[in-house]
Amino acid sequence: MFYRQSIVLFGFVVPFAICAAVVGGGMFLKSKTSATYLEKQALFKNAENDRVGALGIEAQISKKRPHMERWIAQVEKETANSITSHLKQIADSLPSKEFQQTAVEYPTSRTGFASVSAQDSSQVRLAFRGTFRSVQLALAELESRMPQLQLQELKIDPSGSSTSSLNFQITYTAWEK
Amino acid sequence: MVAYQHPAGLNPLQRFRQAGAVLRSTSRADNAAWYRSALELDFQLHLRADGNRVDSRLFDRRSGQWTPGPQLSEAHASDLTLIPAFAAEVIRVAQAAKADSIGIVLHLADELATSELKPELDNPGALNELRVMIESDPKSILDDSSVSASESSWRLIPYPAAGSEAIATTVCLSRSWAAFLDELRKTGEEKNFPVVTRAVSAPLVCLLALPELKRDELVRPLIAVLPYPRFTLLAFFNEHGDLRLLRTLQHRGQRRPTNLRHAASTTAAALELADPEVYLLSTGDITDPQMAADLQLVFPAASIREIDWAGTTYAAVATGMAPEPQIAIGLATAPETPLASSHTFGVLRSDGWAVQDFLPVAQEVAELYPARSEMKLLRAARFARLGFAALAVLALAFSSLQILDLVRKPEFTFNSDGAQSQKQRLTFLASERTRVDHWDNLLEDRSKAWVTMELLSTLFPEKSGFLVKTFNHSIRPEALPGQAKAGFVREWKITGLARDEALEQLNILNTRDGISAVFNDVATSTGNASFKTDLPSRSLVVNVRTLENNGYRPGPVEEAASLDDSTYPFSFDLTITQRFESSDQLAVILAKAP
Amino acid sequence: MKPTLFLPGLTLVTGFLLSAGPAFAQMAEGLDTADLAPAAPAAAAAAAPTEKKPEAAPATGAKVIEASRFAGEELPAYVRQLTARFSIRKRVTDPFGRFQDPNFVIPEPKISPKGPAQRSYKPEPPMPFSEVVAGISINTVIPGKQQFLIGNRSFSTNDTFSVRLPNGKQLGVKVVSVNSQRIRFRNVTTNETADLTLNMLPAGMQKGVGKINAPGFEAVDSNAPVEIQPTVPLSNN
Repeated sequence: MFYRQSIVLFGFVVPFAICAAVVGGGMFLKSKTSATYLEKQALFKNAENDRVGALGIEAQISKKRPHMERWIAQVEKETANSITSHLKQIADSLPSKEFQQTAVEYPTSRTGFASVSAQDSSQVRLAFRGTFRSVQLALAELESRMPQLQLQELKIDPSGSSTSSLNFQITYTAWEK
Repeated sequence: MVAYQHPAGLNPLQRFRQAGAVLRSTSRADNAAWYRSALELDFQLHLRADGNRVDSRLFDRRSGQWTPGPQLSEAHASDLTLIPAFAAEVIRVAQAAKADSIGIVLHLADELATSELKPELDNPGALNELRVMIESDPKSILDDSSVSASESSWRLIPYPAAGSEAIATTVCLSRSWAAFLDELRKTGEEKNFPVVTRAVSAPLVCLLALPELKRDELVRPLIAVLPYPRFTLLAFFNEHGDLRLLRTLQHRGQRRPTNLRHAASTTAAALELADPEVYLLSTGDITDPQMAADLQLVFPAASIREIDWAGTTYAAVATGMAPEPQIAIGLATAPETPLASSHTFGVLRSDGWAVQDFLPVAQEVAELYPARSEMKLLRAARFARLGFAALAVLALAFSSLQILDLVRKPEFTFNSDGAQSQKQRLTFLASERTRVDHWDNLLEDRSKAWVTMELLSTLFPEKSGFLVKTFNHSIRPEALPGQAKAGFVREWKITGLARDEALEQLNILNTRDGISAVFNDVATSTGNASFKTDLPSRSLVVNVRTLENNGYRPGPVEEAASLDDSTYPFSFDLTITQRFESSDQLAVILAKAP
Repeated sequence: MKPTLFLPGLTLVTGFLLSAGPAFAQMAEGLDTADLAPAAPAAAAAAAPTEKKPEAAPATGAKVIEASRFAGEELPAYVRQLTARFSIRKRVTDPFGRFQDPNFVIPEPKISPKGPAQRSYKPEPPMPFSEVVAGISINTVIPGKQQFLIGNRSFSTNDTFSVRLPNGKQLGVKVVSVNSQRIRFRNVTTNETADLTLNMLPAGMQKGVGKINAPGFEAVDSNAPVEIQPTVPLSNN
């Protein structure tokens, strides 16, 4: 029985081992490739998601983006200057009997929206005398030109001096950059 | 021919390769004859060497025919050069007879000797052990220490009789024919044709003819006298048919041993065999008539029986053929005689004591070749290798297909740089969106003076009997801790005077539905969403107090000037509170814009 | 007076005036929707049919008003869009009673020729005679004697008495005829006749018809028809 062991060894065990090694090697390679593929797939998926997400965000802000520059430019200008220049233009376009600015102040206290928000802002207090419609028009013009103005307070009283005028007192919080 | 090396001297790989070589170059895996006994094979050549000449007979078991075989002489034993031709002839004959192998049985009738066992070996149960040992190490068993294992070959013959002193005896034959048989086998290996040899002692085989020859009941002891050209064998059986003793008498050049009758009678007396029958089994073609006469001197003539082979089953199929071959081939079946069923003959026949091979293949030579089971294993291993190879190839192909499939997918070629840039773009856009959304929120039209004035104008239409005296509107934020957006509250406080026709309107305004309707109107006409009331994040509360105007003086209606306070019977006090929760779209983001 | 942004400012103002000119007519009257038309954006034109009901449904077909921060370059057009829908434009006075035209002269309050202390009284329309008559409360009527009682005073036909009206005036009334159902009076001054219908029965009673039927009362006459109690109440005759 000299040959039995070696026959079993070389006839069965070794071929089996080689076969197993080959199969194992093949499976290993395949699993490695599979892992690499999964990795790449995940990356690809992420990149796709990012791309789609980017497109989505782009769609969301594309409407507002053109306005951003203008908004930033507006809030960067000093509030007092802007108000003064705008009011001047507005006043020039309206008859003085109907619309007159009587006072302008820039209080330093932070009230209203400024008191809760961390955003920079300044307070504006304006006083007018004029007819209802002229003042409404002027305010519409001013507030449309400066959307950063947030009305805090509005007081209207009839003026004693004339039968057509009202006294207006307005306080705004103006957002600043 | 490849010279195979003994596997003990090879490393496992070499052994395997040698086994593979054996598998390839020989028919050992297919032809079972390589591993069988000569007497089992279908085609047999029986040679009988009795010292004068060598008989050669072919026996085909398939047809039961005896035919003369290739001729040879005693010179073949010593002159090895003659053997290859003979062997080739033998194989040719066998192949011509369409046999796949040939069993050569050499009946040695030219010598025989007995020697005793060591006296201490007296355990009948150890017989099988001793049978094996006498082949490998005869010196340990034989009493005579001056023996040479290389020159002679011993085999055990048991004495199964109860009460016999010795358990067995040994028969000794010389190895003179060993080379002959070796050469025959070698030729067979060269030609890849199984040549299986067996050297048996002809007298021992001949003894087994007795059950066939003596068909009646054995009542007397039996002495078998087997004369051969160079010796005579005496076998003493008791009345039960048990072998008591084997004794050889050499002829020493004579035709018969000189002390035959003396030895026979004294041994019979010593064995206490009273009135034995004497069977004279002459197997040669030349019988000595004097032998019978010699025996008559000591045994009554009636007890002596000279066997004439012609009348028996072992009748010569051909002239001049000795009976031993025929006896040898007929050993498979026992004759139905009382003697055959005796213990001795049963044992001698069935245990193969009589046909022991005196000149077997040397152990080392036999070990050169793998055993039958190993050959089968090897064959299986060959298939297994194929199978594993196929499996491996299959698996490899399958794996590579799968890999190929994966590699070909588009995601595989995807470049990770692209991912990086996409992510960056996304982050950038997200931050931009945060910024845009933040400013979008800050600049919402949540509190516009002109819209509030529009509200005032809508609340108190012309010629509706109202005269507003004061108007106060304020907005204050409400920030809860831990929230990103702050809701706010808008409050309108309006005081004024009212006439009778205005009271109904005031009552309507005092209801939530009424004031909501006015607010929604303002929202629609101004396009300002902060005046919409049907949102869950907003609430609208109104309170109207109507009082009498102390300055009222009743007078004719048509004379009532609209600015004259005294023409208004009532004064009112209207408070509207609109609350925006922090979940509302118009709520203010509290953080600083990025 | 003009600031440094001369041209844009001029454009603005010109645009402003041109488009919204009519809206700022010196005369507050004549603020018709017709004047608003051509230069004003579509919003105004669409707002025209809804002028009567400013609180009503939104202007169909008009451009949706965006938030002010999106007005951007089209600011003047945007503001025009807003101002076109002001309800003050159609009003002479604002809620405070102020006139929108500062030059508007408040008409002098009418001074009646009689002076401020005097009050002009309109003569009250005379009370219809039938009402007068209906207001006379009769205690008793004695149709046989053609007499009736008011309080403890008795009157009979062809008597004349005076009735004092709630406003103090007195009226002469003559009795024309008296019977059980009505009393006829004549206004002495105007010769108008009016009847006073008598309903002497207290409320809830009605004139009986036919025989008196007490519940449980059985007629003696064996041929009398059997009275039934209708389940539906009889109408008041």
